[in-house]
Amino acid sequence: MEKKRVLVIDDEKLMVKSTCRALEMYQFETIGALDGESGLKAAQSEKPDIILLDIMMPVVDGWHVLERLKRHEDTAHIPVIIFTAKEYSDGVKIAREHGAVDFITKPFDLDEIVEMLQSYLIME
Amino acid sequence: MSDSSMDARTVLIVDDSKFICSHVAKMLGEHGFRVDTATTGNEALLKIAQSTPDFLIIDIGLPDMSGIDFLRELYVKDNPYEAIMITGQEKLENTKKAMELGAFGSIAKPVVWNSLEPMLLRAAEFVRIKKERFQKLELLHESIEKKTEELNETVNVLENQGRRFDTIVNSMEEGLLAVDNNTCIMMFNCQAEKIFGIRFGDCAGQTLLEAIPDQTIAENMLTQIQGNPLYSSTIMTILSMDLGKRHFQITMNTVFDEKQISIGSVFTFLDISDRIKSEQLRSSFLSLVAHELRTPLTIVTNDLMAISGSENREIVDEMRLSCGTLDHLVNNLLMFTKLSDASYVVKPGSLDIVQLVTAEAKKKRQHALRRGIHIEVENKLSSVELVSDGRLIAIILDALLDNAVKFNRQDGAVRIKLELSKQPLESYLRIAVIDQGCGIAENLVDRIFNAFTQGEDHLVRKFGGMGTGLFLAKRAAYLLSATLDITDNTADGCCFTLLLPAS
Repeated sequence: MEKKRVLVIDDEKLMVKSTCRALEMYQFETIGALDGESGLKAAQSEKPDIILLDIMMPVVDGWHVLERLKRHEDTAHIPVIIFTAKEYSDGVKIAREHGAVDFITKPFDLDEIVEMLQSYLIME
Repeated sequence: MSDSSMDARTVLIVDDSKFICSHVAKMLGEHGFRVDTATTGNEALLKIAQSTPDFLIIDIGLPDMSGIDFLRELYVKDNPYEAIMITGQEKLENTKKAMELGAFGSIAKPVVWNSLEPMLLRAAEFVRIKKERFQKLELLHESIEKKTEELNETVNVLENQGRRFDTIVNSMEEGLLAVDNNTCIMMFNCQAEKIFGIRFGDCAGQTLLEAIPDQTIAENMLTQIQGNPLYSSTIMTILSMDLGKRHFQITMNTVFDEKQISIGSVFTFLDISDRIKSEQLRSSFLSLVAHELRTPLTIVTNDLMAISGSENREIVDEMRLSCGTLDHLVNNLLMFTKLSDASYVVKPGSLDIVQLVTAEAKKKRQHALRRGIHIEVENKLSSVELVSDGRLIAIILDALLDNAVKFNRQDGAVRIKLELSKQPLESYLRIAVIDQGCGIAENLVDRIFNAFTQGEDHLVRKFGGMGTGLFLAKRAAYLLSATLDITDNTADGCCFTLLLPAS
């Protein structure tokens, strides 16, 4: 079966590396991007099946990246899950209002995030 | 003469003829009068100034002034004496003039007692009445003076109190505005003038809608009056010429008189801009701290997954557990900091409490199962919609379940019971978390909700944790206007009950 491709966008290099490594153990193919701009380019060129997007990034933050992903015809259809260490009172609601499909707080349980990824990939 | 009204009366005879003065004086003296004489008008006036006689017997022709002019000087009508004119061959009009000026009567020369006595008798009665009237007038005058003095004193006191009230009201940092029951402005202080950019003098008596330049603010204030009969509070941003854009907490209180009848409302405007800014800075800082603490934790957790081969399983599991504990502690610490702040803002929203409880139970289930502990939700309700702050309820459930699992016996159970209680005035949702642990020592029950307490210090070493969970739960309950208490405590377990308003 073809592996599902996950794009991980986060300004923390170790975060991208460890998340990708962990997801690969769950049979995902992963692509990493270390900032918003390279994340947008990667989304357009690699066309991943799903995107994990951090919010607290310098220069272009996650919300702006999300907005541009949803505006671009090549990436608008790709489901985006916000993953962030920042405190949000109603993260899921806020994420969905911005166009993401879900929201998870770091540190996350890998089983939980894998379950989430799989649920949205099945729906797609 | 025996009439008592004539007793000890004084008479001043004014005649340029010493003979007539002597003659009349002698006559009067024989009849018990005290007599003085003057030969000129001016002399007579001097004597009257020193000692007021009861009667004056005046020659109509005096050397220094006419009798008529003298009468004018006397102001007989306004004084407690009577004047009898002694006339000679004068024209009748002089006599008539004298009467108009207040003379009691006239008597022709030569003056004899038979003609003088009846006139004196009648005049005496008039003098008596006059004197009584003057005395009463004097008393009245004194009383009026006294009352005026008291009134002036009262006015001074009121003015002082008014000035003091003005000083107090105008020295307040908060803006103050009072309206009557028709929403007409009755007063506002200097700070309110600065906030709204209007002077009290320009809008006293106008309604809120007429006076307040920002209609949104005025309408909000009207809504507060109409919405709640006693008290309400709201936060609004006001753009003022003097102060710029500021955030105010606007509080309305209804004012009652001594008969408990509403007479109007008082608004206070408290500038909370600095508090809001401070809260925003605080919130930003906490977000940053959360991010910085959680990021390395996530990396460690992810990497543990990568090395969880069968030979490292046990080590990895221990490390993952420790990361989980660390993450939980970080969360608790951050939440403790947030909820401890008095300015924490509750954010109510519509939620399904059954769903929330079920989700929280699910989160804890796996961890509980490692010790053989089962978490069950006992609920007869399919869904219960509430307007409340879901985050705070989650904090409470998290803390209660955490404790229920932590302090439970091996292979024990945790039951979560939901009940909806509908009362005439208020409905309540009762959430009880029941464990099968060893209970809490009675002497420690009072401390259980305090911060940094785990009942007994040795429990910290045995079970870990910072002792903030129940404190957070209690604080969250307070913010929700709910109650959280231990409702059962035995050697076979505890029951913590959360009572949530369920309007």
